[in-house]
Amino acid sequence: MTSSDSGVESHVSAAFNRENVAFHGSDEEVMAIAAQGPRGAALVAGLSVAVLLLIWVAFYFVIFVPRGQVG
Amino acid sequence: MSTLPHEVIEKSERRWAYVVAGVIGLMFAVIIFTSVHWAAQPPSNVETIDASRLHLTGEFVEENLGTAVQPDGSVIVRVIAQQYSFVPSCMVVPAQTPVVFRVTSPDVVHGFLIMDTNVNSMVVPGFIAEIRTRFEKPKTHLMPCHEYCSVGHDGMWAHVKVVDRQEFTKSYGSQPRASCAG
Amino acid sequence: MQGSSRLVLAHFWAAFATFAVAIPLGAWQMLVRSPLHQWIAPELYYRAVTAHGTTFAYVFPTLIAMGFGYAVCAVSLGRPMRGLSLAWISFALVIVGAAMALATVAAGKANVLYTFYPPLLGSPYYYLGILVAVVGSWVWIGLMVWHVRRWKIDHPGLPVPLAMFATAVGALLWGWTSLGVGAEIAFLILPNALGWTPTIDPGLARVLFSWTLHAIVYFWLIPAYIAFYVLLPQAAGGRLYSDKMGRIAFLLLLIFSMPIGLHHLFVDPQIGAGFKFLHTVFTGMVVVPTLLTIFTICASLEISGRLRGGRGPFGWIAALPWDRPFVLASGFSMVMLGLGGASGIINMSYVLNSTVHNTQWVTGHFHLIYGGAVVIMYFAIAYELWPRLTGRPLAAPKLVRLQLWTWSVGMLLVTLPWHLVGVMGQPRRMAYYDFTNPALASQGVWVSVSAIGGFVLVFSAALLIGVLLASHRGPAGATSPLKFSLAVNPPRRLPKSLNSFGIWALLVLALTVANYGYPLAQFVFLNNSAVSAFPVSQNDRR
Repeated sequence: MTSSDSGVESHVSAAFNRENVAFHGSDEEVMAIAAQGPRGAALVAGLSVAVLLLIWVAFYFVIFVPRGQVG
Repeated sequence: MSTLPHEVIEKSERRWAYVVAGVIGLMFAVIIFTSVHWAAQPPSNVETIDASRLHLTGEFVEENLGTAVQPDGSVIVRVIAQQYSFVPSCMVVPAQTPVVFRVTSPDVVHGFLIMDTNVNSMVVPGFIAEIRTRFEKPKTHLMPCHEYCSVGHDGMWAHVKVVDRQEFTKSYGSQPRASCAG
Repeated sequence: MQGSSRLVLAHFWAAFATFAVAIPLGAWQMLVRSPLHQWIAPELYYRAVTAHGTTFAYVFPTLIAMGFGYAVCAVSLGRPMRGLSLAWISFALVIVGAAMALATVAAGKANVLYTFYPPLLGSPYYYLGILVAVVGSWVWIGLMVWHVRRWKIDHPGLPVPLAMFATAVGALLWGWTSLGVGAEIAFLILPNALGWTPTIDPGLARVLFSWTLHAIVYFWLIPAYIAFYVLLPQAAGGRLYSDKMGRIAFLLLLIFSMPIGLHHLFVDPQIGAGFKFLHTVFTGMVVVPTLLTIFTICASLEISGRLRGGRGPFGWIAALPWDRPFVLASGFSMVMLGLGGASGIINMSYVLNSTVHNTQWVTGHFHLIYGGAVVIMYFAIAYELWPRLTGRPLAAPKLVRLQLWTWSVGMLLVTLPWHLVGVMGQPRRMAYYDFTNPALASQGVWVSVSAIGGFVLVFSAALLIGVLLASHRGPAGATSPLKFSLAVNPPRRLPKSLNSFGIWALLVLALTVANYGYPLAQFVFLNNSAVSAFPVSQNDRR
């Protein structure tokens, strides 16, 4: 994996000083991956949130509702 | 050179934000529907009472504690939560009847839940906690104190005995304030 | 670390010293109220619970947040930290305050639990100790904010480095939210404890405490989220998907963490349903930055995974360098965040809260999300900082991985049965449960599983301390400087809204007035709500 500076040199902020910033892969590789869209992330994050919602719905119908109305 | 990925990133984050909004919106729709359809809400009556005079005068004197049948057939159960017991320690209520619990404390913060139900309330001295429910089936439920009230907290358990409506009227209906504590 | 190493190390060592005592205490607590052990005198149990809770609420996370904040300040701004003597004074105050409070607890004079809930009343030294520690940490807040301001003056128009921006958010949030418990202690409890006021208003005290109670957990959480955004992508060998979304997430946390505290008082009789529902809505909003974070971090990790050759919708996950402690810890953290978040959104859901309030479900929830997801990231941060602070490489990477595994497995063993037992109706904070009672018998086995999990955590804690100690005393070696993740598109210019706090501070103030104004002000008009205090120490002297 070749390392490239182009994301860093032109930028002055301290957190982007070469000593303080780690970057991997060439800029071109990163851009190519980013341009394809975050399919994997959408899947994992989407599945996680779906599981979250499922747990909520399960609690609602299996535990909360049968225990009766309170007001 | 990096405008294309930049747009892709922004668009994906925005799309995800819509998903997030949708999921949360869905949960809120269910919450609001439940609250409205069931007229359900957590106990919230904001009613004060002088904690230091509970035993002397007013609604929570000992003779007035326990289950009181109302003219419309519903019952009000008045309870005191104190270090370290509930009074009455065994509450009896008829099934399939609107029940109102009115609970207060003369000393420190307590709380209670009725196991296997959604009845759950804090009991803050100086305030009356009012909670309304309905028990469908005859059953004896345990009712622990669920807030730390100092060393005797783990012994603070009461019972809620739900009995059949007819049986309640027969066995307890003649008493002005009924309980199964005796 | 440019002159700040000793300062940062002091904070982390002090934090882990309290951790080393409080974790075994916690395991012991779980054991003595389980079927595995005979019943013990309740007074000792509640003393332990108070010590454990006080440590993990007011001492341990504060020291970690402060230490990590100093590290970020020293590294991200490109020049050494200033005001070190003030920082040491701040540290000393936190230590002195914590020692005063914890010594009082150890002596059995403050069995009130870390939530205090008046009218229970302990020794004034307990509350004073906490107040000193909290106020001492405010000096840290001042230092963080001052450094950001000074950097912005020296670099006009440039984006504040994300790590420092987020650290300042955490500092500001802590400053604002600690006012609740500070006011409760200073104006309600201490005057009562010192005999200046004859009564105390428990309803008002609870509302003030709720001001702090939710946002404090976000103060604890923010270092973990900073780690996700700023350290994880580079540890995994990739880039941060979006710097801008990071800033938005942290700002959303700043705005929505605090004006939601009434969701801890859903079943309290001193608050009306309207305000309870209002806080529900805002609690729903605070879920947003976490869900945004999950996506941004997954997308960042996806870049890492694909750079390493991962293909297809899931191949990037396997391709990640899971042998690196930071990546491993983060993976565990996200799983525990998801599960703990699930129980959290159930707690938040207004009427659903009634099913679980003050049951062991709640205890399971916050141990999973804080003790699990957040604290494991504290470990990851410590492992990451240690070589840079000590000048020595980290000892025993295999033991580090074992430590992270045992912490996660142990925490799941402890907390998942806890949730189940809570649903079965087990109330909180009891020193003893009669598992021979048929209605409670089925809970026994799960409580035992939790207790065993507690000892797995003790083992893991011992590993952690051992590795950190060994690393500190190992032979010196070359260590690379601390590195921050580079964003895919590093920002060159940012709108003021994403680079400063003024407008957001105003919004926080406005929301506080809207969401807490009436709930607090109503106590001026309520009669009869003040009661006599109940001093716990007298009662314990049997």
